[in-house]
Amino acid sequence: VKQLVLAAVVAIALTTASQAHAQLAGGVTLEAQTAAAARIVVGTVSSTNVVSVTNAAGDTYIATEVVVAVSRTIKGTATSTLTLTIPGGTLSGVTMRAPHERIPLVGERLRVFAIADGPRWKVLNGRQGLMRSVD
Amino acid sequence: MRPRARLVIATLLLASCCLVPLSAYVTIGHVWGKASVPYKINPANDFMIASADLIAAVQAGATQWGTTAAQFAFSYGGTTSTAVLANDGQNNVFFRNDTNGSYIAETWWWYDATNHLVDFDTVFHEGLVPMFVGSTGCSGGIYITLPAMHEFGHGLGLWHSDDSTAVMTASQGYCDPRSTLGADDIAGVTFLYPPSSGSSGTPSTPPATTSVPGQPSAPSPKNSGSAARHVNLSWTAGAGATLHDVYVGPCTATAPLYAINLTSTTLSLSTLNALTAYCWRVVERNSAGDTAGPLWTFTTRKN
Repeated sequence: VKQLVLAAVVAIALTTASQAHAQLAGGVTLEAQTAAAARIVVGTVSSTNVVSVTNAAGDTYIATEVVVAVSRTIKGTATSTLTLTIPGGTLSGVTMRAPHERIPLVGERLRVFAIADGPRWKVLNGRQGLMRSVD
Repeated sequence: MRPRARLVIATLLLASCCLVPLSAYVTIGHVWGKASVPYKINPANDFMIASADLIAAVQAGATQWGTTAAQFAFSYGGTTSTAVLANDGQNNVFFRNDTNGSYIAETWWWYDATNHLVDFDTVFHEGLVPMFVGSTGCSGGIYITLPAMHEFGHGLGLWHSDDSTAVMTASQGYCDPRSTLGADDIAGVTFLYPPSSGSSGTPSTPPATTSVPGQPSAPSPKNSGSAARHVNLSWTAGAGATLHDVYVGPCTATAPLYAINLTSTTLSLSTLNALTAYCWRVVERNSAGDTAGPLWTFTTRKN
């Protein structure tokens, strides 16, 4: 079992590292991402809910509220949950998407880089701010 | 925060971590139901760029998409004072003095139940880097036309390309003066709006190959069944799935992610705890997105 688990962890770590490398080449260093994030947490998505949002700038959009059960806080205020408001979702037969955003699934374990958006929290730099985590 | 070497146009990450090489351009099955799509520009900006110059720079980005053999073109519909992202039936491009992470610009779109796009809006975030028009004089910033081309590419249904030389790649360098599409961009728009798909005004059919995957099914061991402590999980892949993630663990907690990017629909587990209920879930994936399957369970036997 240990060998199997170790192999799986190594395999996942390798793919994660590959992903991170692609991200770094994409434009923002991990250091910059870390510095810019107000909160960095590790946790598991416990629920999602699609809502209509109007933000401070007046943008009106469909968003998915993603509740992350926080198991570890790396930066920022420690709370048991972090609710992310991510543009995208389906309401009344209309779907909104933002190509740079990804809506995680319930059960996904993530390392989240978040910044404040008025009273809400959003993911910093879209997909680059949601890293799959195995720890 | 100003990255030294490269800048993000709309997003920084290519479609999730794929170990399997993808075709360069990426679509997710959404197109306009007409061959000519109007847009408006709000030329208000904080860069002291004259309205006419800014409009010309943005238009140059839009116009490029109409120069291919594809049955598609954007049509300029004049100026607007609108400066919000909203599904208001009007496709707007505007500039806002703010930042959103490292985005130079971003595009949001809306589509209906038939997978046809119904609205898109693009915002340029002025707070990240200086922006310039034309193809000379840029210093430490970006020329507007390249990200405009990129964002209009989103507006017609393209996502980020895996071709780093494409306009639709996720990031661009400083002061890149390009104002024409690359071969991959042209291939992408031609795929979405084939030249033979009819005359102007004829609705395009959303590509059928880029829908999100279907649900996984037929689990083995059977759901709620029993299994040996060494068990081979298997299932029937959801339609269109190219990769599979598996979450599995004792049912006493949320099943953790155990394996990602599987290309086969089997997973071997050994020496599990005896007489223990295990929960597992398969997430089917492709370039269009993810589809989580139902939570399945099995209970291990004593031996």
